[in-house]
Amino acid sequence: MSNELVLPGDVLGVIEEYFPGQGAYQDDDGNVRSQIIGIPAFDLKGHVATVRGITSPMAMPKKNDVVLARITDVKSNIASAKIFQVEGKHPRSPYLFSGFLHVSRISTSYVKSIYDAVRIGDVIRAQVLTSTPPYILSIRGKDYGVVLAYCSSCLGPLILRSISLYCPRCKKMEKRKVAFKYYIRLRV
Amino acid sequence: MLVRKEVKPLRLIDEDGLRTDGRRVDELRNIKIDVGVLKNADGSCYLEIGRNKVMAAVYGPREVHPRHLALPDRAILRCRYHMVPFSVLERKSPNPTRREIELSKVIREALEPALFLEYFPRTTIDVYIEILQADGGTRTAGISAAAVALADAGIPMRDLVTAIAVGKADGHIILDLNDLEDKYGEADMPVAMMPNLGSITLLQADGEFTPEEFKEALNLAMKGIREVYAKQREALRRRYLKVREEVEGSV
Repeated sequence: MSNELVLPGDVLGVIEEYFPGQGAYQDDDGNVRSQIIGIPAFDLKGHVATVRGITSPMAMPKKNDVVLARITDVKSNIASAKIFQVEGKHPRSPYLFSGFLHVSRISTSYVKSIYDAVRIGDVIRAQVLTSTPPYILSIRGKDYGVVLAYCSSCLGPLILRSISLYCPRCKKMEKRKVAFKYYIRLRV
Repeated sequence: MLVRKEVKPLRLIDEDGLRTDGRRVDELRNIKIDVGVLKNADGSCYLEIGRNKVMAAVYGPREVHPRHLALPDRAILRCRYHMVPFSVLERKSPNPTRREIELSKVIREALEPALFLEYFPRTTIDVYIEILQADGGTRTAGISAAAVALADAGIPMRDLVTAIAVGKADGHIILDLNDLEDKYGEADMPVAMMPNLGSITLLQADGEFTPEEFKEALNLAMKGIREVYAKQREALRRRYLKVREEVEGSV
């Protein structure tokens, strides 16, 4: 039974045996049933029945997911972004989910202006803090922040030189909250 | 030019108890179901029942546009039932007709009880049902196809939803009406159910049934639903046993 494929509505057990875990639910008659297409798993110690889905994952980001998003607007203390990819998941559909980034979620230290951290068009790697859209994003920590920035004068991609971003065309430095994994680095 | 015209049959059931297409009164038409036929949809299903050909596609959960339609505590379900212009003998205008708008609503209400919409606040789940070829019973075919597409999209469901029509022709209670029986029969009753939970999510009726006939018809519908449900299961299993093999093979 444990390696058998189950479909939505299939009985996994009764509520006296198992609590419904991920992918399972309890119906009105006290049966524990599957919600999705998947392989059931029974935790005999904790008495939990779960179903591991085998359909492709939903494109929707979840809480604590790490996402890539493009900044669409920057206001005095908040920036809006469109999430286009969830790390570890291959989005099957081109849906964009909206997210917001508040100044307080940019760094653990004080940030005077959000313009010092992100600009329109930048791609950020962020953590999702809420479970429903519009999502609240955070780029606190060295792994999160801008992974690809564009020059505010010429829109060319900026290159990371040691710790600052540089536009080779305008010969200009720009400020961002850069992630550890910034895409374009100066090769020495 | 060949003109295909529909002729009203003298009778719907002959002296051997056989119907215009040679079926017995409690017999379904041939069913074929394919899962995951559309690459761009999150879940999809192609279903044939007799001469009906239906395509269902599911998108979501995704953000709602226009935004004001979104609900703060649950997802919304949007359905579009649509017949393509070449689905019937005479060209049907592609614009949504009064009938299609109403069927979209009843299909939405037939699918809604099966879904855990409260899991996905502020989002939408979109179901598109295209009737490619129509021969009576397209709403029920659409519901059965949409339920399979929803499961294929990985959306949590209480149960699949299965639908079939029953009716009355020449005084007999018949299962799975075709177009002629629908038009010239005495009654037509589409039924949708969640087969494992035993709850009915759609029940419409056109024509007259005595209370006894109604009971007989409902029992016949449940018998038909069990048969269609077995086909839905088989199609999903066929698809996902293959997926599982691929996944386990790659590890």
